[in-house]
Amino acid sequence: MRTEHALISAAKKGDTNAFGELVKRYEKYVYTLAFRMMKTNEEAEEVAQDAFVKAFQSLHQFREDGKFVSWLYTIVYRESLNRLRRHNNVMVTIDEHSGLEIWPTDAKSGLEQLTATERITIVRSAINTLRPTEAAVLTLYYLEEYSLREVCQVTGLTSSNAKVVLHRGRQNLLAAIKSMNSKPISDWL
Amino acid sequence: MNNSKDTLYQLIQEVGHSTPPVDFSQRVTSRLTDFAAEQKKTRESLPPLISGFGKWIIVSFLAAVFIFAFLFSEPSANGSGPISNLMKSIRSATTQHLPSILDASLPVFIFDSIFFWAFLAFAAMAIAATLFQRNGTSSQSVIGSY
Repeated sequence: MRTEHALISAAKKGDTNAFGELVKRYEKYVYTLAFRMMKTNEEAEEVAQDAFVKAFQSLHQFREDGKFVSWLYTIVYRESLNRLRRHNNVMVTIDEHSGLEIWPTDAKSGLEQLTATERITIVRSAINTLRPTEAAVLTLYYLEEYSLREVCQVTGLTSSNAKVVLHRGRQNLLAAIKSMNSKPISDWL
Repeated sequence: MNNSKDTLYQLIQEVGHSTPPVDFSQRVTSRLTDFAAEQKKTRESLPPLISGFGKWIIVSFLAAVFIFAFLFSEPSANGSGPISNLMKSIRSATTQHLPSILDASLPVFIFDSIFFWAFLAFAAMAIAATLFQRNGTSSQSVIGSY
């Protein structure tokens, strides 16, 4: 099995099979970020495909001192935002955040009583209600365990803006989970 | 991380990654193969503006013109630094061995002409464009920078 470095070097020389290997390795990461931002399978697939093609075309610009997957995330993030802007349904401005973050205990205890599948369904639906930038920042921060600095590198947000988006995303996600979990589970499945 | 953040972390980790369609990587590879084939076709269909030998003739000509311009242009006003002195000594050492016709005002007239410099700029751009296309990177300029 070839190393990532070897695959990137081969792909830079135009080896599409080597790049295909990279696609297989990172497709779920790229697709996840695209899906969290675009909200539908069809749009996510188109964005993910376009992102990989653009990555291949501009691979010579990739500096190998950074993580390849982070570079891919940058392309996916921009591609998603561009597509959303074209569809005119994205809000990327940062507005003020309000209130303190309080985890709703009734929602938490309710979630603990659910099966894992039910919980995943609710949280996934709640993530789908987030704004694209919030969903992207939360995914990078909590799922990929990126530091705030890495999140800023991928998204191009300033540190303070990323903190605001993260804070607001958390609040919105918790509120969405609470509202969904207060309803009977049968409504969700 | 406080309690609520821990809980969010656990929940998002539990949701995990989304799964792309089964044939996703095949579709991407297919698009890449099409793209590579099209790029190759485009590159082959573009006739080189100037052949390899002709390019070197033009490069040599431009180099000769620049050297000529360097020798006959006026030194910077009262320059007395090491580079200025070096330029002056090279000029005087070279021009004293050249035929006297080159000391006439013709070279100065030529190098003062805006048309001459416009021609030089055009020729330089033509060479740059030729080199750029021969490397096959011109079609990638639309891709943007990551």
